[in-house]
Amino acid sequence: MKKVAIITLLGLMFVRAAFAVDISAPNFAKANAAYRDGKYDEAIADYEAILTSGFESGAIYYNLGNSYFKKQELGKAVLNYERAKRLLPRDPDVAANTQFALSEVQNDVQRPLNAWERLWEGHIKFYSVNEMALILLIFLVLFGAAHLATLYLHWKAGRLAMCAVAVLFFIFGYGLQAKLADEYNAAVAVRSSAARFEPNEKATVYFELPEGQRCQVQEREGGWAKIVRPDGKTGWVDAGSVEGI
Amino acid sequence: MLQLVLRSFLFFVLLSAGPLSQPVLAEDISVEASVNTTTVELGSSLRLTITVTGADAPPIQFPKIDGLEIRYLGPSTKISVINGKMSRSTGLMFTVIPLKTGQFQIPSITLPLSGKNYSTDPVAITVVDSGSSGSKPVHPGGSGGGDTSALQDKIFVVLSTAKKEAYLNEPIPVEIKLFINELAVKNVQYPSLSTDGFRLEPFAEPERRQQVMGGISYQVLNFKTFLYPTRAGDLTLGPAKLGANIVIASSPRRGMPGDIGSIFDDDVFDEFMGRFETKTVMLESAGIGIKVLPLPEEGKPASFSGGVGKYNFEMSVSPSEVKVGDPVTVRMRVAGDGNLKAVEMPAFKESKDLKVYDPKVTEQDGEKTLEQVVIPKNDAVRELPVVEFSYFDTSEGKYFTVSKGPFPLTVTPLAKGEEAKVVGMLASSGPIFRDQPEELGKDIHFIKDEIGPVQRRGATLLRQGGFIVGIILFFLAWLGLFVNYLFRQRLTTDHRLARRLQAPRQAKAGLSQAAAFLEKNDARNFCDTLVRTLQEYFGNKFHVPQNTVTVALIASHMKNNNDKVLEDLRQVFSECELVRFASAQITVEKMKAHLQKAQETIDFFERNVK
Repeated sequence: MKKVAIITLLGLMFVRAAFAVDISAPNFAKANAAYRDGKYDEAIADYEAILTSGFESGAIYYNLGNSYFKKQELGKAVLNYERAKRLLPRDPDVAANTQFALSEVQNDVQRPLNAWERLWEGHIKFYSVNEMALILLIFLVLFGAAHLATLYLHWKAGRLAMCAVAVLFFIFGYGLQAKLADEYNAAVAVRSSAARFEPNEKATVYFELPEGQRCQVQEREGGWAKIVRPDGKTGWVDAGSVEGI
Repeated sequence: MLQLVLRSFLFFVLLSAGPLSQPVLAEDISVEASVNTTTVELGSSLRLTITVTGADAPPIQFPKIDGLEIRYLGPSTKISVINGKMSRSTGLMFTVIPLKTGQFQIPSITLPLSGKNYSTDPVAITVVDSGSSGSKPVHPGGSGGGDTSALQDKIFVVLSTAKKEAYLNEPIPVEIKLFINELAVKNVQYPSLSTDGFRLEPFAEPERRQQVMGGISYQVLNFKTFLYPTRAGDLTLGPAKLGANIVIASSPRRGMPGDIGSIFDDDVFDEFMGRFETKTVMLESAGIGIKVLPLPEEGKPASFSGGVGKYNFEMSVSPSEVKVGDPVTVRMRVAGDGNLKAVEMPAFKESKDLKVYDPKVTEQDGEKTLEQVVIPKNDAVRELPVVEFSYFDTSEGKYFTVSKGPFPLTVTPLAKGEEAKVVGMLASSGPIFRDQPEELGKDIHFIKDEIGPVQRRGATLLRQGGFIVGIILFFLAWLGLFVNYLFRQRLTTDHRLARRLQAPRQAKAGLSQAAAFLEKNDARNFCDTLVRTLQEYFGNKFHVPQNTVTVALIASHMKNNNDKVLEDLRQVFSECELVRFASAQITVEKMKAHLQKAQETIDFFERNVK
């Protein structure tokens, strides 16, 4: 009975995924054809339609980013590349196009990182959220198995293995937490706007947020969003000028 | 204040050094006569100065001159340091008062100085009627300084070149002199020069000196530079223009004719103190015609690269023993009085045997140097070839070629497995050199054809029920096994608990065995087994030796004594004892009843006694 329930559950999940591919793939191919023909508006509409239907993939975001880039909409291009990176963190095409698009951003502000920060950022950006979650589960199982093996089988290296797995578990656990926090607040300016000291039009302009600039959204109030630039400078911008990743 | 102290100190030092430097100064003795103007109105006067440099000035007695009266005013001493060389001069000043109009000449004066006679040049002066002078004398504190034409004798610019005929690219020394006579001048600008067909070097810091011209002593600022003709033909150089500020006395304020005014309108201090103003003047020299000759085509060497003048060419190569791929540094130096900018250094070119890098060429202090790295590509290179440098000597009017080299070079091949030092050269694949960094295009990568793994938007593994259930199940399994382990561990140490837990299981087995004997109607074994089972059960239950188990012991472990249970037990024990030890008979019904009682008693204790 239990086996039947598990098989049914897995079967339902598979059917759901297969169904998603089934309905998305033709639209994806149609959008790609439009892109090849240089009909970028049409391609954008088709890619967006797939996303609106509730499904996503790294390739959809990547191709959508390309379409926006071809239309010189740098902000939306960077936004979709960043979304693609969320799902395809190690894809070389996504990385190359993101870097190229960012190189086109006027006055792109980046915070200089020290060696540890670079290492940490490299770690959390190497994996997707799902991969990190799966790795954490594997570490959890390994930890439990090593523990039980130590108890029941008197495995001599069990405690050492447990320590190693625990360290890795915490590294990945903390990494996953940081990644989730980063992705939750991460945003990209889809159009240039003035960042002000206060959320009103008469407030003094602190700095200009260029189209394509990555930032973090701290809070939203009315039609305003409080953003933090990578160098730590904060300002209020029109909420419509930034979109979350 | 500090500046004043420093100046005072310098003045003191110069004065004290004066007598010590007398023998040096004696070698540069000169005597000059100069006037402040060569034209003077009747009724005015002019100043005559006899300047003795390098010696003490003796008293001077002028001969009587008809129409002029010369009166001695006094001496003035001037010490100057130019380019670190100090000179001292004494000026004997005279005032010359004309007594009538006409042309006059102040005669040459001969002075015996240090055993030799030194003579001045005669000075011609013109005396005109009052009011007919073309150039009004101007002097500080005087009036009428606003008109530049009136100043032309006091301040003017002269452009001169060392030669009027030159070859193309031949350096021509140029001088622009600013002459100043008895004027306070400041903020002198660097001159500008119209140089169509010439290339002009920047002017050096101007030299200052005193010069007598036409009997008038001038302060001269000399701006020097070089000029290089860039095209052949008859060219015109100049005019030279130079701006400066002169300080002149402003006219005192006077009332207009018929204007009575107030006595307070006159500024007493204007008269007493004098009032000065600064006037900017733009001075312009005459132009100079220069004939520029083209360089002759006849005899022009192939290695000629534009050097015109006299040059020295030197070259060195180091090291002379290298391995394939090692750098060899070539150094060249060209020095001379020609136009170095027009000289192109004879750098090495890339060849099948030599890899060359861009040369580093520098020019300073009248010499041009080249430093170039040359790398032998293979061990067949035996020497660096001859290098020729050609120039056109303007004084000789012909071309000259200087050759250097060949420079012998010992190039050894790379040892097996040894890497060449030069980037891009691989020992294994032979001498391959990387060219300039490849310029790569930049654009976005093309779209993806495969849609890849599709998921619900925002659906991460962390939000999926299956993932979370899996984690919980795993956790429970682990927890169960862990608790089981802990329980097992406790049983190994806690014997009371182990026996207590063991008691019902063991009793169950014993009762089954007794039931088996009942089936066989084996009364003795049945009773043995039943009594032993009960003793074992209670022994384990109460953690006491089983042979010490009695009804009284059992009753002592019961909080609330159940008489029926105890009575049943007592009956079972007593009747079974009779069968076991007195060979008494017992019916099957009795055995069944005892088995039933034993079972109920154990159940009772399991339920009620912990």
